[in-house]
Amino acid sequence: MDTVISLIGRNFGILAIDTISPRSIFIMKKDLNKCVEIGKNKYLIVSGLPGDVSQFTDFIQKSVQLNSLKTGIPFSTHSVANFVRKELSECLRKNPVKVNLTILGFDDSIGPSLYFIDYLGNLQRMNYCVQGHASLLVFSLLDRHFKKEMDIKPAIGLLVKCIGVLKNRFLINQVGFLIKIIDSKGCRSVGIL
Amino acid sequence: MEYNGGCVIAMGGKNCLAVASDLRFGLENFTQGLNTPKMFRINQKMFIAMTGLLGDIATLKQVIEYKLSLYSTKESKTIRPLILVTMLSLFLYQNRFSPFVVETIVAGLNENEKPLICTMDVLGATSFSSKFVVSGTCSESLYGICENYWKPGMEPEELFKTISNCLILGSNRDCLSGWGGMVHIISTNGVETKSLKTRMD
Repeated sequence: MDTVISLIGRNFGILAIDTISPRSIFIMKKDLNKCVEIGKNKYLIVSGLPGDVSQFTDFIQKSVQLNSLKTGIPFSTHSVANFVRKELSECLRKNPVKVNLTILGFDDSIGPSLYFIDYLGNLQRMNYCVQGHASLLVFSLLDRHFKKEMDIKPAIGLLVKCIGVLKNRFLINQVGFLIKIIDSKGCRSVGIL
Repeated sequence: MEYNGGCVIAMGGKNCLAVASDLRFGLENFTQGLNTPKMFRINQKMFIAMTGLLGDIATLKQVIEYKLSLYSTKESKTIRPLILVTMLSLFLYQNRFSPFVVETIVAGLNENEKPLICTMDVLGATSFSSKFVVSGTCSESLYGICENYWKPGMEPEELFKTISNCLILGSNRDCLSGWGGMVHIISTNGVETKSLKTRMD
């Protein structure tokens, strides 16, 4: 299962996402980029059943693009998160889609925001979030070391700690973690840990 | 119902009302968030509180907001608690064969400042009470505690102390509820909101 560790710092959001694509006991691809950009200032990471992941990601990305073209207004992170939640909630009783999502975005008026949505349509806005089996290992570490309004270097240091724990104790060898940052300048990749 | 956890109490006093809920957002045994009160303000004198699946709680809250906007536009007045209870009960029953997995509590002050408290199950079966209603994973403990501590004719300050004690004591032993609490006290003067310090486990 995918590991996504995301936190909010001072005027930026940072996330670490693993880059492997597994199929049963094999690693199919070691350098997969699972982050999807929505607009110029939002990242959407979807994890779950493989077919549902690709179908749902495409659906959300294109729907948001279509809506912003129709209305001429670029969507905020809050609206995208609520839109995804509504779609998942409706799908729950018609054609269930088993995906969990993290949405990390930067709006000029609000700053960075992080939303976690699970497959039942539970939406939660958080300061830091871990998605996947790794959450059992990493969440308590983040509870202990996370501070609000961190700068970039301490945030990356905290991510290094979290990834260290995973490399030590997690059963699956998630070869590399891609680090991405969102701030007022847009989305960019920082590197691979 | 036990997937996300949570508990809610509503208590009636002398021309006042109090609603309290815990703040936990969990995924079965894992606590994911600590800032999710399960109460929503409808208007100056009414609250709706729900426990159950958080996704359905959010959907139902949006449905209620939509229906209330339509009502206030058509009728040009604010809705009374009893009307909302009936509307909600009918709406919940419409999903008879794929119900919203929530247990709702409606708490509001009538025009004559008397509190109206009502609880509904997943299909909208209503149960009014003049004393208190509870809902959530630890509802049995809450029933016991509230039955013990509730007195008729409580003023807002005493009502706040009683409902806070009941929430803390009732959710202490339940692992799926707790992690903080929030209380809204509704009286003729308005709504006061207070946070509670509870065991964080």
